[in-house]
This record gives sequence, structure tokens and C-alpha cells, in this order.
Amino acid sequence: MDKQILAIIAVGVVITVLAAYLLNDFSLTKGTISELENYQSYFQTSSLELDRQNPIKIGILHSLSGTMTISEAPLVDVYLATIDMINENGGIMGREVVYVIADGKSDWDTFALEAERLIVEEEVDVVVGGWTSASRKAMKPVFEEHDHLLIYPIQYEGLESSENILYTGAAPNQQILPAADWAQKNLGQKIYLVGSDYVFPRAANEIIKDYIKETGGQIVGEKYRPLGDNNFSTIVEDIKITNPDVILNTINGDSNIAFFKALHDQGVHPGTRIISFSITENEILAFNIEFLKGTYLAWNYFSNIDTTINNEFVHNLEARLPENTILTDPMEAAYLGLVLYSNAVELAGSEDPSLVRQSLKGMTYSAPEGAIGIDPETNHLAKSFRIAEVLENGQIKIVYSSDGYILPQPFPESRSIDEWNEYLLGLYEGWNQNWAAPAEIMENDN
Amino acid sequence: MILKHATQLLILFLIVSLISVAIISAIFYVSQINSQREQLSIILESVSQIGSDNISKWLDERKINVQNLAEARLFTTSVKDLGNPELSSQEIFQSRLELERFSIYAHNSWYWLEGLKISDPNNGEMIFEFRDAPTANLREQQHFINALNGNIGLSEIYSSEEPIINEFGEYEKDVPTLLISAPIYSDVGLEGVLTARVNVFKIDTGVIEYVTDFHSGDAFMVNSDGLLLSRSAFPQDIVNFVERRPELELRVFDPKNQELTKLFQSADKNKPITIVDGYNDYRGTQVIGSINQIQDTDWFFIFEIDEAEAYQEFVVLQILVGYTLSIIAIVVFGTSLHFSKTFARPIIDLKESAEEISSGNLDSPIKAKGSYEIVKLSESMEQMRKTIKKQLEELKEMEKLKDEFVAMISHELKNPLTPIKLYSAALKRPNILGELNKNQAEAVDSISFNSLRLERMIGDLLDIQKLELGQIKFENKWIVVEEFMAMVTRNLKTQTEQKGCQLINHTKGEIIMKSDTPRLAQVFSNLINNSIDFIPENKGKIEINAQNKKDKVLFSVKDNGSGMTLETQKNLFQKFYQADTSIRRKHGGTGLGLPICKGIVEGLGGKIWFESEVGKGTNVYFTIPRGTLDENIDSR
Repeated sequence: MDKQILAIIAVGVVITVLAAYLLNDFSLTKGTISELENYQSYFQTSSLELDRQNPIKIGILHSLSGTMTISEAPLVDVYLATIDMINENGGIMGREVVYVIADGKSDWDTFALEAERLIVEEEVDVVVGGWTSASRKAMKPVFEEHDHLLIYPIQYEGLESSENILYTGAAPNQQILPAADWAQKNLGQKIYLVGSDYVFPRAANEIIKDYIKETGGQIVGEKYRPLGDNNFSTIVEDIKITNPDVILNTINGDSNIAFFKALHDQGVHPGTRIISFSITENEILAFNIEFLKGTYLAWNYFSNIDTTINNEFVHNLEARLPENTILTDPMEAAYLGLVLYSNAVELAGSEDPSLVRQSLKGMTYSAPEGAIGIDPETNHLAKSFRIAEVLENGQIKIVYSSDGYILPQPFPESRSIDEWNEYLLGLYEGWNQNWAAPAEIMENDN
Repeated sequence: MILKHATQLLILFLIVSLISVAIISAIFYVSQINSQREQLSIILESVSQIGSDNISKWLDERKINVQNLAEARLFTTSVKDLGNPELSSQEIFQSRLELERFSIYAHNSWYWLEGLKISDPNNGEMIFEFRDAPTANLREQQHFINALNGNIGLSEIYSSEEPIINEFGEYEKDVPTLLISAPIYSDVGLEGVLTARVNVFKIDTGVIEYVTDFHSGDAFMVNSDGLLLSRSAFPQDIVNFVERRPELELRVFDPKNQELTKLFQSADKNKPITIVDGYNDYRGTQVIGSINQIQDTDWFFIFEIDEAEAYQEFVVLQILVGYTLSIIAIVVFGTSLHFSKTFARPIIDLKESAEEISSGNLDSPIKAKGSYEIVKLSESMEQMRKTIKKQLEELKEMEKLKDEFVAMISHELKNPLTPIKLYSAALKRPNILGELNKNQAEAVDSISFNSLRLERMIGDLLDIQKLELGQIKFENKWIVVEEFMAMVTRNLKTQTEQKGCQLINHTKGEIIMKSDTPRLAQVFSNLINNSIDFIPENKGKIEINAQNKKDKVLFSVKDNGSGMTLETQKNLFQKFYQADTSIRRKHGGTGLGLPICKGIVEGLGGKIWFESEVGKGTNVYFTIPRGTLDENIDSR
């Protein structure tokens, strides 16, 4: 009886093993984690060794205190992110890029002093910075005196050209004039000009007036308020009376909020079209979108330009910037300044400012905004121009793009360089040798 | 033994069934797998063919793209202007800007274009670059030379050090890169060489596509070193897009995979090689695949399916076969257990019953459960048992009746002898019935003698009858053997001496035993009387002895009589047998003496035997157990 049981058990075991074998034969084999790791290590690229002994030193000069901080400080972040990227890709000529940050304190004399300090004491190879034209004009003599190099990233009124300054923002013919042209063609001939009372809006509007005159348009009004002023009721009343087709807005800073509120409250907006020259996508966030929707912004760069290069740029830079930063035109211009500088140093084979300046001339680059290049005669960039409409959800939609780049013309052809210089001198003297109207002058109708 | 054989038979049956099922399954399986292999082979081959054709076509299109770019008028004039010494820096600047603009346009339009450069045809130096670092001079490269000769040149695929932005917007280095060079002609001649940098990974977008029902299907392009050049983009598998990211790091097939290396070596142009036997891919997973060389290149298109999926139906089939086998095994087991109960068990029961019958036990009835045949067999056996038992009982009854009859007869015969003996004795006494004459006296003597003889014969008959029926009850008393032997000698000495012979007792030493004295005396009486019959007158000699042998006592009676033939010896203990009928008549023996001796000795637990030789005499020996001496030695 025992033998029988044993035999049955034995056969049972054999069958179980057989069945298990048949079933098991098809179980999937999978690669192990260690295998995966092996392959990963196979593809790890060796990190580039930077020359840290002889770094390229960049001075960053912006207002980190005072009224301009809110505008200028984000550019410092962009510079740092760009330097980070350059170092990550092997630095400049294999040399590490380092930086010194200086505070212009929203004070133009301080900008000049700090620029002097950066050049003489810090021995930087290049200075990037400045926002207001006032600050640039204060710094210009310093860089010319030391035969050094300033890279200035902001669109401005033009009427200036220096061997020692690379202007990566728009010249008037790359923002102001094409905007006026587009407004005339698309929005109407009756134009109203409004701006903050300092050199950029004054000069910009002077240029626009020349242009409109030529093209047969009509300037129905021109009003200014001091920087930071919030009282726009008189101007809006005037706008209602004159009933323009389009308002060209060169108001700077948070005055814009008061201005747009007044326009909205008094029923000018929506209705009258408005093109703003100094409101970025980041500033839209500060507005009640009801006041701004349907208005236009004129810039060279918007972050939603749909090209492979821009998508890469946005991806790479946003990853290095504080969260929710939207890349704006000045930021792109700031980025381009450093990239062009980096390429120029590579090309020159030296960080010597005069050699770098030479190699910068005629340099071209595929920028996020499109093809750009440094005009060898003016040291301004060939840039693209765009107009975008603010949508209800706060997003922007590009409604117009220039056909490729526009070569820079810092001095519009309507007047000679001497005439423009004379005009500027008049403003300077009129403001008591200052580049902005004193706060106590409440109104300056032109 | 039957049990064992039955089990072996069942197991054998089981194994044979299993093997036959397995063979049938295997045949079915093999035929199925062969047809599936054929189908898979066709699928793999066609995908591999289509894939490599697509890539070939894709490359042709890229060549045309690059050529078109190089031939674009704006492009050509701009390149021409770059090298024109007569132009101002402003004019050259604008030419460069135009090239930049054109390049951005091309880059934006062509997903595969990572960068481009324009080289001086004379010295190979770069005169313009778009997203391309000033890398090594291309002058020596074959594709560059081809372009100088007016043809489109394709470089070898190399690992680019220039980072590209991958599909996740991240910088990636060591990307397989292809350079396509094309000449730039102006109206005056060769102005430059355009070299486009192509990210080979981008081939995957829309090119390395495949349409099969297999989820695990994976298509690759590799170079002859096995470097992964591109792979299918799993467009249908968007959910796993992020999960498969680590796999993107797996740029190369297992360099140790010799099978793959052999494949490359044996690959023939436009003739796909298909392997449906399964080999390890870079993940270590078993796959089946097809490989095909891409026309005009040193690259190979590979299409693979995980073996597990390709033969998925067979996994199911295999599982089915496995389960079927298991079920069959269980069924066969059940059957075998059933058999052992209904078939083997009754046979075993019958065998045990038969053994019992043969051992003489006819009382247990034979009864077996099981099949019809078994039941019938057991019924027949039971009938047989009953018949045998009945006949045996009848036989015993008859024997008993016969014995009873003999006993009754003997008893009845004995009764009339008593008056005959008494009256014979009275006739011989003159003072009772008067004096008889000599003839009368002799007649009375004869009557007396024969009646004594008759009485003895009847006594013997009764004895043997009692012995055979087991009716004699033996005493169990202490015997001092020496005294017993002396008594025997004394009692029988007279008779011996009547024949002028000697009876010698050799018994020595003190032997004590527990047995039946009268019966032992009867044995000696019979044996000695027997010997007296055969010893010669006056010269005869009878010796008796008793010896202690361990737990027995060995008694012996030796004579120097005529001895016995072998035939006589054989029949000596038969009832009513006498060696010599003349002697019988002479001695008036009944022929029951020795059988009675044997019956008594065996009844007392001993053995009796003899040694005899004709002319020399006969020795009779018998042993009697000494009984339990130690305890009751004083109880005599």
C-alpha cells in the first residue's frame, strides 16, 4: 500500500513539474536595472573643464533700488541665466564667465560713477546694463573716455550712436515708426500722442510727428505727464474731445495703470485703438485686463513667437529664471547682448574691448526674434518688428510681423543728425540740464 | 505481489496516456507554430523592406532639400557677396543677414535641419555658420569633395559634439549626425559648399513608422557598428511617452550581442534577413526581428517584436496544452485510483480467501465487490468453498462413525471375555468344578490363553482408538527415571528369562522427569515384548537405557534380534502391520504395539525412531520431555 502511494506521489510530482515547465517556459524575461544603468553610464558626457584662472568678467549695472528696480531687476536675472548657459556650454574660449553686479539706484549720476568703478576698479571686460535713456546718456561719456564697451538692451528714441555702445534694443525705425505706419494703415489717420515727460517719449513723438507729416496723417493731440504721475483725467477729457482713431502711448511705468483706468472709466476704451510702446507681457499681469484688452503692444520680440529657435530660447531661459517669468523684449535684447559679446570674443580671440568691438561689427545671429545682425556703421541691431493684440485672457496675439529684419536708423532721415542733436540739446536745457522733466512742472503742452 | 503488479500496470498506463497526449499536443503545437512563424516572417520582412525603403526615400528627399537650398537664388547671391572684396562691410553685413534669415526659414521649415555652414571651396574654411560651431575643416571629407565635384555628398554618421535640442527641449550631445554637402554655384562658378547638419534621430518622426498589430513592435536604424541612429517614435503610445524617456539613453545595441553583429555581416542589400527564433536585444529581452540594409548606405533598418508578444497565441496555446495535460493527468489518476478499488482490491481479496482455503480454513465466506466478472468469480469460489466444506464435514462424520463403531465393537467384544476368563480359571481349579483329565485341562489352558490374548488385542484396539481420537488423558507426575527403569526390568525379566535371554538395564545417574509412568511402562512393555519376539532363544539380549539430553530424556531399547528390512522399517508404525506373519501367528500379536508406542510418545510430546539392520538387531529410541522440573521438584 505504501509503495502505491509513493508511486502516485512520484508521478504527480513529475506531472506538476512538467506542467510548471511548460507554463514557465513562456514567462517574459526583462532587463535588469543594472543593465539599464550600464547603458546610461555609457552615454554620460564628460563635463567641460572651464578655465577658471582667467575668467571673462562681466559688469552688470542696473537699478536694484529706487523706482526703476521693478523694471531693471528682472534683466539681472536674465544676465545671470545667460552667463550660466554660456559657462555650461564651455564658457568663452574655454574661459569661465564671471560677473560683478553694480546698483545704479535709479539715479543717473550713480550709473556714471558705478560704470567708472566697474571699468577701473573691477576691471570688467564689458558692462551690460542701463534702462532709461537718461542713465545711458549719463554713462556714455564714461565708456567713451575709457574706450570701453557698454551693451545697452532697451528700445529707445535713437538720435544717438557711439562706438563704445552696442544697442541691442530697437532704434526708432524698428519700433516707433513701423508702429505709427501700421496704425495709419490699419487703425486710422487721426493720431493722439501721450507719454511720460522725459527724453524718450518726447524724442519718440518728435520722430513720429515728422513721419506722420510726411505720410499725410493727422496728429490731433500730444500730452505728457511726469514719470510716476497718476492724474490723467485732463488728458482723457482732451482725448474725448479730439476723438482720435488711435492713441500712441509712450507712458512709462505704473502711470499706465491710471491712464488705462481713466480711458476705460470715461468710455474711450473700448473704442479708440491704443498702441503702447512700453508695456511688456509681464506688466499686463498688473492690470485689470478689462482696461487693456483689445489694445496693442509694439515690440521686436514676444515670447510666443513660433519658431524652433524661440521655443528653445524660452525653454532654456525660463528654466533658469524665477517661476512664472514671461520673457519680454528687453529680456531678449539683454540675452542677445551677452550672446553676441560671447561670439565676438570667440571671433576676436581676445576680450580686449576694442578688438571685441571690431568683431562685433557686421556679426549676424539667429535670434529668438529672427535674423539679427550688428550694423557695422551704427552699432545698432538689425531687428524684426511686431505688433501684438492683448486678448481677453491676458494672452497676446501677434497681429503683425515685419518681413524679416529692419536695418537700424538711429537718426531718422526726416532731419539731419545736427538738427536732431540740436533738438535734444533743447530738451536737456529746457529741463535744467536734465534728461527728464522735473516733477514740479505739472503740464507741458506742446 | 498482485497488488504491486496492478499498480505498476496502472502507472504504466498513466504514463503512456500522458506521453500520447503530449505527442498529440506537440504535433498540433509544432504545426501551429510553423504557420505562425511563416506569417511572422512575412510581416517582419515586409515591415523591414518598407522601413528601409522609407529611409532611403527620406534620405533622397533630404538631398533634394539641401540641393534646393544651395541653388536658391537669394542664397547663391548672398554667398557670392560674402566673398566679394569690392563690397562694403555694410553690404557684406546685409548678405550675412540674408543668409541668417534664410537659414532660420529653412530651420523652421525643416525639422531635421540642426544647423548649416558654408565653406570656402578653395580652402574649406567656414565663411558662414548657422547654429554650427566652427568645427574641423571639411576639406578632406569625402562628402565635401563630392560637393566640390558638383555632386551631393553624404557623410558617414558620426556622434556630434554640438548639442542639439531634443524632443523634450533639452540639450543633448553625442547625437548621431549626418552631413549633407551640396555645391553653391553662382553665374560665375562655384561659390561655396553648403553643408547641412542633420540630426539622424529626426528620421524617426514619421519615417521609421510601421503598421502592425504588435504593441511591442520597435523599429530602429543602426549603423554597421550597431550604433543606434534612430528609432520609432511610438506615436500610438503617448501615455508612456515620459515613462520611456530613460530608454532614449539606450543609444546602442548591446555591443556584446554577437548575434546582431553576425546579422550585420551577413546582411545583404535589399534582401531582408528575418529571424523568428528569438535573440536578445539591448534590453536583454527576447525578440524576433528582421534586418535590411538601406540602399546606398551602410545603415540597417531593424524591426523587432518581443517574442513574448509575437508568440502570444502560443503562450495561450502552451498554457492550454499544459492545463490539458494536467487535467488528463488528474483524470488518469482518478481512474487508476478507481481501478485499484474496483479491480485490484477484489482480486486481492479473492487471493487472500483462496490462501485461507488452502491453509484449511473453510469457514470464512468469500465475498468480493467490483465488476460483474469479479462478482461471478467470487460467487463460484464461494460455491466451491461450500462444496468442499460440506464434503469434508461428511467425511469427518463417517470417520467418526467408523471409530465409534470400532470402539463399540471392541467394548462389546470385551464383555463376553470376562465370563470366559473366569470360567477357564475356575475349570483349572479342581476344588471348584472338579478335576479335569489331561486333554480337558489342555483344552481349558488353550481357551484361557486365547481369551487372554483376545483381551489384550481388544485392549490394544481400544488404546489405539483412544489415542487416535485424542481421548487418552496423560498423567503428569514426577518420575525418578532410575527407579522407573528398574521397575520395567523387574516386570519384564520373567518373560525374557522364559526365552533364556537377558534384559539388561544400563540406566545410570539421577534423572527426574515429569510424565505418565503407566504409559511409559506400556511403551517399554510393547517394545521389549516386540524384541523378545525377534531375539534368538537363549542367546538373545535386550538392553534398555535412559539418558538425560538437555530438556529431554532419551530412552532406548536395543536387541540383537533378526533386524528389519527397509520395507519393514517403512511400515513399522502402520496399524496392524507385522514384519512376519508367521511370527504374528506364533506370538499372537495384534500389530498394534508400535503404533500405540508412537501414539503415546507423541502424546507425551516426544519422538520415536529406530535403527535396524537385518541380522544385527534393532535399536528403538524415543525421547520424552522432562517437563517443568525446577518448580515442582518437591511435589512428587
